[in-house]
Amino acid sequence: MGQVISIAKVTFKEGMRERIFLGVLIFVGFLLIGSGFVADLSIGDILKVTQDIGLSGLSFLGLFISLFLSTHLIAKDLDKKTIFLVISKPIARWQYLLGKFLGLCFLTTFALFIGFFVFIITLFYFWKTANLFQIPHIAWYKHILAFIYLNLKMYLLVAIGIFFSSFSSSALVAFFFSLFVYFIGSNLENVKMILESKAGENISSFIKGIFHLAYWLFPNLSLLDLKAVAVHNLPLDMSSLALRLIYGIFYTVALLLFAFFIFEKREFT
Amino acid sequence: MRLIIGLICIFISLWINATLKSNFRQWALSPLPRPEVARLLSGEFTALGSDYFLMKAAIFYGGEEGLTKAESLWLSKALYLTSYLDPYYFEPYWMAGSILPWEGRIQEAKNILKQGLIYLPQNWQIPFYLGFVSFYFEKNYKEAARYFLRASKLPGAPSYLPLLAARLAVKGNETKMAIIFLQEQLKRFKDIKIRTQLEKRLNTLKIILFLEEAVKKYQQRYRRLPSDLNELVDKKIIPALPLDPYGGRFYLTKEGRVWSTSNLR
Repeated sequence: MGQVISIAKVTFKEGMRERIFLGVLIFVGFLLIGSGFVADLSIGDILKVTQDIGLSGLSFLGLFISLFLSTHLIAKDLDKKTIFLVISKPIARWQYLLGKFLGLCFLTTFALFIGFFVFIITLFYFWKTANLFQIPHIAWYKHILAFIYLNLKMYLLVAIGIFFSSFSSSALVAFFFSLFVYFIGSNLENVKMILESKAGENISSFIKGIFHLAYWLFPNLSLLDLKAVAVHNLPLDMSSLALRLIYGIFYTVALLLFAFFIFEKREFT
Repeated sequence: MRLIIGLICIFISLWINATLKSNFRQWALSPLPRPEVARLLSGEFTALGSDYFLMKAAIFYGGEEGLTKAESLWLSKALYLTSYLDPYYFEPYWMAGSILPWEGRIQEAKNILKQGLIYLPQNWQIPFYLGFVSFYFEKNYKEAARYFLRASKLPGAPSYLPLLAARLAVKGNETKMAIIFLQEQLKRFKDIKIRTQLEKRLNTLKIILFLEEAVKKYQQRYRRLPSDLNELVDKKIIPALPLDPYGGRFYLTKEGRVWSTSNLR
């Protein structure tokens, strides 16, 4: 375990040193602070727009860091041959990957926490100063819940990035594969709703079959997306929350185990 | 030398950008994506898409004086798109209820509001709007009474609603109803952009109510309807015929109601 932790520490430091990390963090910082001013262009409940921009900005931040850095950092090790330094030591390859995973998760949470902190402060400020007849109720604890599940989603995305990095030697290929999976995963629920609505009646059963296969196979990321719940204060039941949590954890663990398996068999040149 | 050429190039492009006139109507009325496509393209960020199109609709409506048929169609589609992307968002329902029927888009407004009944079942304003549309625009008093009753049972509903539902049987209260309705809608928003339009409508309706009451006085006195509104001035019931803020001319319908040639658009 000690080795895993030390690899995680190195990964965290390495990620922090990436300039892109800082760049994205600054960009999202501006976005979050500016969200209230953008929302002012809308009508009525402008706080809803502030929350939308804030939570989406956080999602974007996490997405970028988890997908980009997970594929980038492993490929860099392979490319610069630093991987040989690691595997020549008494460390199993799965320990290396697990260390990378933990380091990246910690990095993502670190960035998201900064973003969330800025978001809550801005939201609170605009909530207190909003020029509205009826000051809307804001479900603060559901925002915290959404933040926790956002982290979980990002861990799943890190696992996806590591899974693709375990067999692809190019960071770009692994990145685009992960992005592809993310895109499908976050749209599964949307496609399902469209297919079940009136618009889906004319779609051939072949395409529906393909979709059902995809629905089973790909990670359903919208299960971990509680943005709408937080913004509209929708009711939540504990059992569905628990099931979503288990879903996220099991999918992440499975992906990591597959990645370990492939990485063990891989030949380094 | 290279630096100078570079500076010239950037200057020319900045100048071109500044001289090209951007057209507000063109920007605002740009074609809308199909709702399903918009939903797929926005992935987990559907709420942002919803905010964007509502913002566009609000900016567009606030900057216009009277809509053409194509424009009101665009507005109804934009509001539908907004409510489709984020069905829990109240503002598109508010806009659909308070703007679309007045622009002649009654069915479109009802479709959007009916979706709101499903997603926001605890909101009293959505059945209230639906009831008003049935009452004022469709003259379907039974349906209107049903919607008002439904609204009156929800939390936060004003205490006069059950009374209103009961009074629906009495004909001839349309203008008073419309005034109550608009005042209720104005309670929600402070935005100047849309308020000015609603306040203009409210003021016009108040003038209509004033004229209708004058007609009633005339009826009590002479036991018949005046042949036109000028007769009210001739018999000194009102000092002068007020002007329609929309630029139309007030006239008397056969049923004794007052309306304007502008249709309040």
